[in-house]
Amino acid sequence: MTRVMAVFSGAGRSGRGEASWRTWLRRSLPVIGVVAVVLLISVIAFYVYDSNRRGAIVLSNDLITAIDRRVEVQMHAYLSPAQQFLELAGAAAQGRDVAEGGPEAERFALNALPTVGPVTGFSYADPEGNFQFIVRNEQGGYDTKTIDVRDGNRRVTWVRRDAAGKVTATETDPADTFDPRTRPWYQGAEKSKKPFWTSTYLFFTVKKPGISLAIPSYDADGKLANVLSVDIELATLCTFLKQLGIGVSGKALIIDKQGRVVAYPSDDWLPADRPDVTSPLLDELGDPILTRVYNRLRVEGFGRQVLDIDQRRIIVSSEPVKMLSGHDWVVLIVVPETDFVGFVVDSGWAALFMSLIVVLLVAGLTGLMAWRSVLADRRASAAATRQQALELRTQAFVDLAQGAATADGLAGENLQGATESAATACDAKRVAIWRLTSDRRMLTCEDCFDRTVDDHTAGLEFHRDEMPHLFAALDKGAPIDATDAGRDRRTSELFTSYLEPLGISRVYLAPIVAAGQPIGLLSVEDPRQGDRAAGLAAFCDALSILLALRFTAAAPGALATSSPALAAAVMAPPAEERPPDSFLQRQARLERTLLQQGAVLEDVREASIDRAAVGVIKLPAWTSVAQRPSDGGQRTAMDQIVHELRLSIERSGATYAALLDDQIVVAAFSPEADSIGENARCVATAMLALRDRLIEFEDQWSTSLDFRLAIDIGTVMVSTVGTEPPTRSLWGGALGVAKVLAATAGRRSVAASETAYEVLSGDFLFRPRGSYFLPETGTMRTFVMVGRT
Amino acid sequence: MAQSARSILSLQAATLGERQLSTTTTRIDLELPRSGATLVQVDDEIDAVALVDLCIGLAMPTDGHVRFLGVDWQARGARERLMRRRRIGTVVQTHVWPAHMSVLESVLVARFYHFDRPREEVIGEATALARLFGLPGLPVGRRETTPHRALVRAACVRGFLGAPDLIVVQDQTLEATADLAVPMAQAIAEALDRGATVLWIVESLAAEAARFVAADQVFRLGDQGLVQVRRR
Repeated sequence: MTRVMAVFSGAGRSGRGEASWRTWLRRSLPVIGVVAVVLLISVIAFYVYDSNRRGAIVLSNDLITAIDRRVEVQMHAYLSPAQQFLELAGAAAQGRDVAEGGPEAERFALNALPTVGPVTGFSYADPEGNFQFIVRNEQGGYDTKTIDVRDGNRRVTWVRRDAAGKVTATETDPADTFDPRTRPWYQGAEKSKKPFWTSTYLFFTVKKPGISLAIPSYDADGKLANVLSVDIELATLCTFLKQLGIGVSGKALIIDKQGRVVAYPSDDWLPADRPDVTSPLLDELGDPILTRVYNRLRVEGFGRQVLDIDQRRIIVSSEPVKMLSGHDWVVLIVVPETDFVGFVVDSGWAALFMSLIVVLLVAGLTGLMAWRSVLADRRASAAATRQQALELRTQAFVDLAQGAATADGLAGENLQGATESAATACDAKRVAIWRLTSDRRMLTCEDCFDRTVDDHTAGLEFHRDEMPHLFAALDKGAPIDATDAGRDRRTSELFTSYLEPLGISRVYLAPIVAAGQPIGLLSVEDPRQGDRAAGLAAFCDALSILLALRFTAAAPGALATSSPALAAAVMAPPAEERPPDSFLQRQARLERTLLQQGAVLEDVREASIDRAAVGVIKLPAWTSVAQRPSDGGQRTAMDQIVHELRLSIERSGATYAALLDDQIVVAAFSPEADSIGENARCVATAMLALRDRLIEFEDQWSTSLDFRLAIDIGTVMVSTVGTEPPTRSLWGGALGVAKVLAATAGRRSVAASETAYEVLSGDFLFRPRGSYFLPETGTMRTFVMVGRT
Repeated sequence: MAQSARSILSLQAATLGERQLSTTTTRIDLELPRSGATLVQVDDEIDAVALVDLCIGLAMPTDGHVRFLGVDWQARGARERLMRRRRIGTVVQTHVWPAHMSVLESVLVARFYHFDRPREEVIGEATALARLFGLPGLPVGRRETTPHRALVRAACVRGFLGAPDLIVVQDQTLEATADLAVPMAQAIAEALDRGATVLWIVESLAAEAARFVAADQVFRLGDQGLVQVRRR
């Protein structure tokens, strides 16, 4: 028979490599797509941000230039009338001193001043100290102050006028000490000998910041004849600067080349309570940005530039104003770059946020696709696995069918091949084929293949008494798929005695049925679960049918010779003729022990019985049998048990029985040495009958009785108590060993010593339980007596 | 029962090495008084084995001290540690059944090596313990031919044999064997009566096998070290 050695595998290595590459690619593509989308969006976002930023910067430059121009035009419109007024006033004065030219200049000024808005005052001074000053008053008219120092007398006269130009009062002010020659405008003009613009200062009369323009006049000899000056209030210019909207927080101001402020976009930038205060420099305004700008301008000069100040980019424009002769003023515009390009960043973030939402949506959809792809792969893989499993099982079945068709049928090597093929096909740990005896009381293992050790065993036997539920299920002919054999009532006994020691918990049992009657069993132990279990039941059922055909076709005698284990069991020698080896060993040990105690075997011969068969029943714990069963009348469960056991013992022909606490001792012995087998069978039969009766009680009362039994054969001591008739009591020797075996036996099982096994193995079925060292016997094999053969 | 008040085993700020289920270094403070039974729940078996090794001087703590009968394991040489270890019985399944020895020899060898007691006396005591734990005698086969049920019980015999001063129990298969609950409780009670100390490291405090043990101290090994718990 061809052995199926196929394994669950796919294509070759190269095929697998290609397939895995494709799988990797298929699963990775969505991820790569998401990454590509993220990168693309990032690049687009950066490009849009950068181009917008550049555009915004260009626009901001244009805007600043326009503001520059606007300020320049405004300044021109603001200051030119004052300059023209002064030139006309100079023409009216005609280079005369105040005494001579004053009246004409006053008439001109009183007529012209209302038309020149920024000019609030007109000064006319000569080198002698004479002075004429015309200034706007609170009533909207103009007052004239005249200081006359001719003749060595100083007279200060104020002429007050209303808005209509009518003189309302003429006052003198002897306390006035004003000397025009000490004023900055006078001194500046005298010193520069040309039109002179003062710095910003607080006007003496109106307490407001302003500037003065002074023009000196010289006579033909080049001697200073007079100085004319106009006062120009800067409030309007400051208001204009304040109203300029430059970005969010930008500001424009006018400074001179030294960085001293001429006009500042504020109403109170120059303190009104300090008339002597001069215009501050940029770094004296208390604005850290202006301070830094001032320092940078001093080093780098004027012009337009972007300065990094405190991690902020500040656009600084400082364009000189050339419209006025003699004064180099600069329009300084300071505005954070973010005021112009901030919206680009904000819109960039908004766009990025929206892009992120798009990315998340794409990622979600991609993840969904990937997950569906994985699911599809799994389903495909599962389908392929199931397909593979089915194909493998089909091939195995074909091989088995071919093997069965040979002359040997499913016997010998063919049978072994069948279990191997089935184990491989089911991916199971073990596969065994069992034959049911004609009386349906015993399952015998024809062959069992263990894949973990790659070896075959045979001959193991299960007795109906040992596994009643399994045999009952087998009688019904239905397969058993026990995923947890220990919890399935039908397989719990099989699990305890057979599967659990092998570490197996799942088993599939397929009855081999012929003509409606079970004739065997196919057990698949620890088969692979999941997708690879596809078709397992159908395969096992088909295989059991095949086995059924071969079993029925095989000659009845062929089975006995095909199984070495069965042959050995059948050929077991009768034990009556000679005592077993273990018995002789125990006798020798007993002799040695007695010698150590200073005695010899012959001394105890008279008080002992050789080769007595002893059985011990360890009864259930008293608490479990103290109640009265419903069908027991007034008797407790223990009463009924003892009563029934007594009847069974009486029927068994045992020669000795005693109830001792929770144990019943049954013994059979006779003086004839060759009756050892008969006595042993008597006690063994009694033990099995008692076990079965107790199991019946369990079923009857639907309870679990924790009882154990044991049997041993050997020497026991006997004491005779002097009653009438005399009563014999057994103790020591085999009785002690049987008690130990009973105490340590499994629940509901009959433990047997090696001696009992050797004597009874021809008639009874035993299962090995392990070898132990007992001080009473030395090393001894122990068994569980299952039932009759 | 009137023994010295000092601890038989003392773990002071002893730290386990790398733990399987925790990323933190666990500091352990534990005092095992004479004639006392202590239960320690350790979730991970590898941690449990490490704790046993720490207690019996097979492994040294990263920090801290482990003292057995007042002597720090680290202060003694390998041979002296071996000699002191004869006073400790361990009920474990790992590395206790050498392939070249029968289970019987594996159980008895330590007693024969360390003590001069007559063979019959040791075998008698071992047999009594084996029968207490449900075996007719000591298994004579090798580990591979001995039923698992017998190996679990033989490990119990091995741990309690020779009246050790400290008995450390760490056997998850034992915890799952309900049949051994009463015999273990009986053996532990007898050991406590003669002045021994018992440390039982369990996977679950609800284990059937540990249910009957009247513990003086109950702990759980967590990330913060040993935490005293109350048994329900």
